[in-house]
Amino acid sequence: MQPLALLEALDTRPALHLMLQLAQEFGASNFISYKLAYLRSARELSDEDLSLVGEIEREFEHSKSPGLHFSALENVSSKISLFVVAQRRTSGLVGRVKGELRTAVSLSNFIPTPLDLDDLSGLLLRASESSLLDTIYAILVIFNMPREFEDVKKEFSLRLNECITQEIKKSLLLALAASDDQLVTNFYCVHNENSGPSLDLYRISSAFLERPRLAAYRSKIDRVIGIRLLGEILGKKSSGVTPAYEDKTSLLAPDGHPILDEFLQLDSFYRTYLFLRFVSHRPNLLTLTKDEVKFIFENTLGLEMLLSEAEMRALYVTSSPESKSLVAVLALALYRKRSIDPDVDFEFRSDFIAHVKAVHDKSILNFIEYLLKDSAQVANYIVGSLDEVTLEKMYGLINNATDASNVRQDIMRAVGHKLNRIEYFIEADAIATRAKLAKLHQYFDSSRMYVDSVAMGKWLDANPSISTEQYRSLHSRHGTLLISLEDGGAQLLIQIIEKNEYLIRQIAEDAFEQFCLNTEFGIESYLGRRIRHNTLDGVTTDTVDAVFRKKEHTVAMSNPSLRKAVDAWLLSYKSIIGKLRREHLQFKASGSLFRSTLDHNDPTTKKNVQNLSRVLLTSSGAGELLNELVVGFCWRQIAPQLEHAARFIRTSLLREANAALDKHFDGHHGSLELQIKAELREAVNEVFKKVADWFQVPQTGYTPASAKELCGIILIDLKVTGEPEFRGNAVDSRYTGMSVHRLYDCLAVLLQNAQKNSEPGYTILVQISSQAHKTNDALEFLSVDITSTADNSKYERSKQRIYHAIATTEAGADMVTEGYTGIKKVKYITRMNEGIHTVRYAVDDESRKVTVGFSLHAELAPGDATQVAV
Amino acid sequence: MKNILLVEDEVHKRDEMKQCVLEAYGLLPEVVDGVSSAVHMVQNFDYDLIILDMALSTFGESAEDKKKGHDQAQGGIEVLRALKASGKVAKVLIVTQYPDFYIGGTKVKLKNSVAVVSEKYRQKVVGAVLYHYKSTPTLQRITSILKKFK
Repeated sequence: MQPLALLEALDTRPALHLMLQLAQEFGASNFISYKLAYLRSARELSDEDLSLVGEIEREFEHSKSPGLHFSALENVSSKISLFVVAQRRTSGLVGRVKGELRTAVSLSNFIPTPLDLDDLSGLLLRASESSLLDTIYAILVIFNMPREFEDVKKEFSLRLNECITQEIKKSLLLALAASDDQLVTNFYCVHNENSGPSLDLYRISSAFLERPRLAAYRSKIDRVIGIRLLGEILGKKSSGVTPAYEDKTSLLAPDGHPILDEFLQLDSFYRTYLFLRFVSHRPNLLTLTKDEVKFIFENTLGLEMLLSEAEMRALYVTSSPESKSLVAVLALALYRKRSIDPDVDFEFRSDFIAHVKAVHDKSILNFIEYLLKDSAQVANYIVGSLDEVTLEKMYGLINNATDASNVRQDIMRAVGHKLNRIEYFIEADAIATRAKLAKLHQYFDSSRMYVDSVAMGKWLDANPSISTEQYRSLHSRHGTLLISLEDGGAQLLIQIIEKNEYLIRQIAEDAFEQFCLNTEFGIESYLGRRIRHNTLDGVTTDTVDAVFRKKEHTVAMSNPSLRKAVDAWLLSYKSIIGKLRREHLQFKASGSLFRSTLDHNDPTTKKNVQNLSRVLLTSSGAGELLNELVVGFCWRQIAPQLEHAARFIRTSLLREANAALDKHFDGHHGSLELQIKAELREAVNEVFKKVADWFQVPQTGYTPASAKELCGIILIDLKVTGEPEFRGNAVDSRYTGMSVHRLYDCLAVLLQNAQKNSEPGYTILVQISSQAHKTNDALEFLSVDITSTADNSKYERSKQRIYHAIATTEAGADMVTEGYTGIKKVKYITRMNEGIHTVRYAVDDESRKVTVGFSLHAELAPGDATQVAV
Repeated sequence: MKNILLVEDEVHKRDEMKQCVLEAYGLLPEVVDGVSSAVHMVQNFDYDLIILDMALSTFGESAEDKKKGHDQAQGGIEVLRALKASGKVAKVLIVTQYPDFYIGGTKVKLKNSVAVVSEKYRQKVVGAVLYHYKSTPTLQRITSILKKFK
């Protein structure tokens, strides 16, 4: 272990060999995982190095149980946001660990130093359960915290074998001599431009806690930041461990200001640490002016994750009238990032509404523009906090869902202008496109399952897991190799799949859980709506009631004895339906028909994961389509559960209901009773068949559409009555996923241009052709060319304009000022999809025909897709 | 009892509730079908009684653009928050299809919700009824509560 304490001084290859040797001798350990995570994050590894990493991981049996190894990487890697990952782990485990931080490795790793004596035993138990190396390492950490654990250190010295104690002391002396200057490498920094030296060191220190200075630094920050990151788990334990910080001058000093008790200079992360201590003494807040509040918001990190709602409330209450707007936005961001008390959220929203009404003429956009004028950095908070869901809840400012969606678009554009970033315009446009495409799909009029795949795609982008990041980096490394292998090299492709399938397994597991349980778009929320909006009750009761309401049964129903039998049967029937609602259709209930986890021993799951792995790991274009392919996997994975649910309802439940019919209608009341019974049996059959029919996989989670259908919607929007002429082998081919959105956006631009410049009376020609992808059946390379005959007076000008638009090289930022519209937009979309833009044009001066076209890879809708009315 | 507001988005349940009010008081309530309009009404008008569903969409089907907006599983609680924030007190009858719901992050059984909601949101909650579709006993219970607080 000793040489690895000075890991940054070792060359990569010998260091990896050393880790491999340790892994072979002692098996998997958090200690090696951290050292390896450091190397992978701090240095660029060659293919030979990565092959050694693979060997270590095989020793760890990493692919069977990736949790341990991933946990170290997500704590150390600069590519993953520590705040995001802490939130994810916390919300995933809060119900399981009952406030015990050390119960789960993935939680324990966020605070690798013991918080106090109570925490110490848990930390040691955790370490001794994973590996002998981890146990020794935990003791080293304790020895490095003499101020906090002097007595414990003495106890260890007394009880440990003298030889071990000497070795521990030797290790500590060796580590003490280490300089920490070279730990944070350039390679590490470039992967996260928003990071800074103190945060980088905080993360990297977790891999070097045998160094006294780093252990002390880590422990100090853990006691303020770490406990807040895990605040949901630790509850009250998370407050008051560290004394308040009173020095406002240092807190507000610029970056680079020396920190007295540290070897670092002040930066955003360290200022965040100081501010959190400053806040813990509430009267300090009264001393902050508007400019100081603004300075703090602009020069700290993740406050929305780290401040408690009580602190936020105190900040709001004590802030001056001028700084209230800023605090209100931050408070909303805090709520959106975490599930805190919704009553507090309501109060903040009410304050916000009152403020916008009083000062900004009821206009949220006016408020945003005012804020942006004052502080660009606050834009990050605005984008995070004022999403469509929150905007809808701005009662009195927002009148309907369309209003919310328009205001969100306006906000994105305003922020895009301020920050000079095209991404915000793209998102604004995506909202508009989604609304237009909704014409293709009535969300709940279909009797089939529905998952909002666009929302899920956005969620996956906003919450990348360590496995997704690993995959993306693997794919970008192997992209060129894959292109060259598509025509051969089967053996190498198999090796790539075998080595990396565990990554895809992890991506699939994470995504499937969200697909099932996410409250915004998951299957569970769909089931909830079905149940809540009475569809279930309506279907199950109406059909049966209709039998009893029949005139011909009036006489029979007036017979008290038969009435009693009817009531008894109804009771048992309703109890069957009640059980269906309470247990079978709930994911977390004991009798649930659904599960949100993957069973890797199940043959169908194995096959689905293998197929996903094959496509993701061996197709050159798959990286860009990751979200779509993952959503497709989720549908394939849920399909057997839906089939099982349908079968269960159609058979077991129906049998139960029929058995109840036999029990309660025993024929004592003659033929009238038998007639009612027969009709009830038919009604019950119909009920369960109808309910069972809900549990079918839709053709796709997205709305499938052909280029021709999309042209139809666009021309309706453009109020064009004449029908274009369609030609080509792919006129009716239907596509799905984000391909539909991209295709729509590109077609909308080109059709609008064609229509604007076309001479009246001339038909627009739309040529739609496609080629199959070499290795992936689900993809096609689609080409669309739109030809119009230009008006004589417009021909030369439009020719020059198109030529200029295609020839110009523009950066994303240019488009913010020049507009994300027209051919530049098509260039941008195809560049994002294909790596280079694919827009082309041709002209015929004689006939004044102008053709503009583009090509992109598009995901094919399953062959049996039903026709969708446009 | 003059000013009654019914907050309910499900058509059939709404019709049944209206009949209950008519039977108990001989008048029909004002009806809204979304959280946003319910919040607007309670902030701007005074009601003697509010009959409140819990799970609601933000705008309801009567929205100008015909889009219901996002579902709010605890939408009824937003209305109670609005009442409390406006400093108003009304009689409230909760009629929901869920046997329990979340208040301040804690799961509360419907039968215990009267006391919890009364205290937390400072309203006079007169009852909390678990609604069953087309169930005469449910409707009788609702009518009887309404009559009791005439």
